[in-house]
Amino acid sequence: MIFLAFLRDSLRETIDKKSFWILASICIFFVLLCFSISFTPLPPEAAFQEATTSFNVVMGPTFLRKRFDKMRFEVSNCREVPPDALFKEARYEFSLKLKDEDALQEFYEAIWKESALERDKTKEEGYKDPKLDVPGMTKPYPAPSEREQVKYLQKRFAQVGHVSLWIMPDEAAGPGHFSLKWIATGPHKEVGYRASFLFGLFSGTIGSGLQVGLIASTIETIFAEWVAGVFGLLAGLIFTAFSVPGMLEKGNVEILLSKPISRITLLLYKYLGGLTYVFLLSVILIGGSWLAISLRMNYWNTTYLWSIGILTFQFAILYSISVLFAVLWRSWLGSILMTTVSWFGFWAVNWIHQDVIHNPILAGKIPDWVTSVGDLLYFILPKTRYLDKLNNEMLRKSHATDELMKALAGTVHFPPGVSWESAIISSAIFTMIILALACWRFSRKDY
Amino acid sequence: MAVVEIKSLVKHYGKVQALKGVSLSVEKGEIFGLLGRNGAGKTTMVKILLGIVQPTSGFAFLLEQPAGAAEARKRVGFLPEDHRFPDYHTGRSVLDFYGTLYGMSRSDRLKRIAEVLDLVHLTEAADRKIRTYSKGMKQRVGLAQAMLHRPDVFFLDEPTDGVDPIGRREIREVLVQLKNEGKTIFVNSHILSEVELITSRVAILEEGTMKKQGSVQELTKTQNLYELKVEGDPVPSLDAIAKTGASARKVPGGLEVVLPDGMKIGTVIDILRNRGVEIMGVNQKKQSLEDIFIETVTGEVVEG
Repeated sequence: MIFLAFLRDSLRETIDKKSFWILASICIFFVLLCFSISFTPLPPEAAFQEATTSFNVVMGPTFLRKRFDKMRFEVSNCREVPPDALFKEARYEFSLKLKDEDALQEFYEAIWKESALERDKTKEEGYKDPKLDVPGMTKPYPAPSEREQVKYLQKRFAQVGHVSLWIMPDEAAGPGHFSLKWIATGPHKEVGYRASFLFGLFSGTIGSGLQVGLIASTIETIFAEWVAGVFGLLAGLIFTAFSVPGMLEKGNVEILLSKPISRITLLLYKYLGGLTYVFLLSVILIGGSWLAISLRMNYWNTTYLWSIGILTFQFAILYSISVLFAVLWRSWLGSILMTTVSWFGFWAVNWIHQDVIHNPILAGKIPDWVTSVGDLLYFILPKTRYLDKLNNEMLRKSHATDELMKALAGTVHFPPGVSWESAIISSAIFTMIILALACWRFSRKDY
Repeated sequence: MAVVEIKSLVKHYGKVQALKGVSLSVEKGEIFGLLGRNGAGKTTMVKILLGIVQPTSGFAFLLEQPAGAAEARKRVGFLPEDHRFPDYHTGRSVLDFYGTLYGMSRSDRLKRIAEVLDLVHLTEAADRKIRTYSKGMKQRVGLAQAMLHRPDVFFLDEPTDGVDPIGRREIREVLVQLKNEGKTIFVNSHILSEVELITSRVAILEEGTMKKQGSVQELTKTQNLYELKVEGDPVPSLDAIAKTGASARKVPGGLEVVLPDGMKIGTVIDILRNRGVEIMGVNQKKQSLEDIFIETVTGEVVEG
C-alpha cells in the first residue's frame, strides 16, 4: 500500500509538470506519425522493375562506387505460380533482360570490375585500383561466364531483399536474357511497396523488394534506438531528476524522515516511482507505435514490444546514477549532468569494445594495455549500447530469415562474450551496486 | 514515565559543536518548551530524537525506544520549522499520502483527514494545490499532518509561525486540548509569551549547552521587587527604609523597593505612612519568561 502511495505521489508530481504534457504530446505525435505511414503493395512486375533500378552500381572499398548509367533492365511476363507441394509460399516467374546493347556492355563491364574487386579484396595490400578499372581489358568487354552473370544478379536482388530467387540464363532468347523464379521469404507475397508518409503528403517507392517485416523493423528500430532510446530516455532522465532532490529539500525531507518508514525503503520507492513513470511513457511510445505500424501494415510482430522492458531497464541503470548524485548533492542539475556524462561514457566504452578493440580489421594493431583497459571497463560498466544493438538484432531477426539477414549484410557480429545474459546481468549488478551506495549514503546522512 | 530521555547528548557537524552534552527529561502529558537562540541546538536535538540526525555521542530515548526507532516514530507527530510540502499536492492529498505512510486504512484516513482539516479550519481549501496557500494555511496543514495519526507525542517547531493572532489563539487551544487528552507536546518557539501561556516546563539551550530548565513557575518566580504608587514626597523616607535592609529608589509616580528575604512590604508601607506619604497602590513585580530567557542567554539582568 505504501508503494502504491509513492506511485500515486510520483504520478501526481509528474502530471503536475507542464513539461510532462509536452513530452506526452511529443510521444503521441510520434505515434501519429506512425499512423500516417502506409504501404501499398506494388504489382509484382512493377516491383521487380523497381528493384532493378539499383543494379547498376558496383561498390568498391568504402566510399568508392561506380555507376553504369546505361545499364537498364526490363522485366516482363510476370505471372504468379500457385503454391504447390514443393513450394508452400507464393511465387512468381518473370523474364529479365538488358534493355539494349549498351546496357549489355555495361552489364559485362560491371561484372568484370566486380570480379577484379573480389580478387583484390583477398590480397593483403587491399584494393589496388581505386578507379575500378579492370587491368588488361578494354571495351568491348567479353561476356563473362553465365555463372558470373547469375551471381551478379543474384547479389543485386539479395541486396534489396529478394533472397529466394532462381536465375537461369535464357539461352533461347539470347545474351542478356534471363528467366527468374521468385519465392516469398515470409508470409507475405507482396514484392514491393509504394510508401506514403503524412497521409500521402510525401510518397515514393522505398525499399523496393523488401519484405514488409523488414520495413516494419526499420521503423521500429528507429523508434526503439533513437526516438525512445535517446530522446525518450533523455527526457525521462530530465523529468525524473527533480524527484529525489525535491524529496530531499529542506523542510520536506524532515517530515518524510520522521514517518515510520525506513530511509532505504523511502529511496527505493522513489526510485521505483521514477521507473514506473518511464515504463508508462515507454508503453505509450512503443506500444502506440507498435499498434500504428501493425495496423497500417497489417503486420503483427510482438518482438518489438520487448523494447518497453529493455528501455525501462536502460533507464533503471541511468536513473540509479541520477539517484546517487541526487543523494550526494541534492541537486537536480548535478544529477542530470552526471547521468548524461555516465551514459556517454558507457556508450563510448561499449563502442570502443565492439568497434575498436574487437574489430577484426584492427586486429593486432591495438596495444595490449588498451585492450586490457577496454575489456576491464566493458566488464565493469553497464552495457547500454550493447542492449540497444542486441535489441535491434533481435528485432531484425524476428522480421527476417537468417538467409535474408545474411544477404542484407545486416547481421551484427558481436565480440565473444557479448550476449543478452552478460549484458543484463552485469548491468543489473552495476545498477544494484550504485543503488546500494545511494541507500548507504542516504541512510547515514544528517538532514 | 519519561517520554523523552536525553543524557549527555553530543553532536558535532564537522568542527561545529551543535550539542555539548545535553541532558533532558520530558514526562508524559507535559507541554514542554524548548527555548534558545537560532543555532542554539534546539532543532538538532529534536532531529536526533526523530532519527533525522545521528548523535556523535550520548543517549537519546523517545517513548522508551532508542532515538529514531520506527516504532517510536509511529507515535510521533512532527512539524519542522520552515516545512515545505510538495506543492503538487492539495492539502487533502498530502495528508492522505502521509496517512498511508503511517499505515492508516483508507476509511480511517478519509475520516481522520476530514477531522483534522476541520480542526485547523482548512476544510474549504482542502482541495486546492498547496502552492496557492498562504504561509498561515501551510502552517495549518503542517499541524494537521502532525495530528493526523493520533500520535502520543508532538514535536512542534514554531507552530504559530506565520499565523495571524486569531489563528495563533486557535492553535494554542488545540495544543491545550491535546495536553488535556494526555498527549506530550514539545514546542520550540521564539514567541516566548505564547510558550509561557501554554507550557508547563521549559528548558533554555544556549550554544549547545542546557543553561536552565524547570517549570515556568519556578523560572519566573516572584522576586521581592515591589512598585509603590504614592502621593507625597517619598525621598525623606529613603534613609529610614534603607535602615531596614531594603533598598528603594524613586521612580516617576512612586518608589521601587527591593526587600531582603523574609521581610514584608508592610514594614516599608508603615515607614512611608508615618512620614505622611499616602500609598495609592502596591504592585509586586514578576519576571517574564522573556526576561529569564534574555538574562540566561545574554547574562544581562532584566528587571520585570
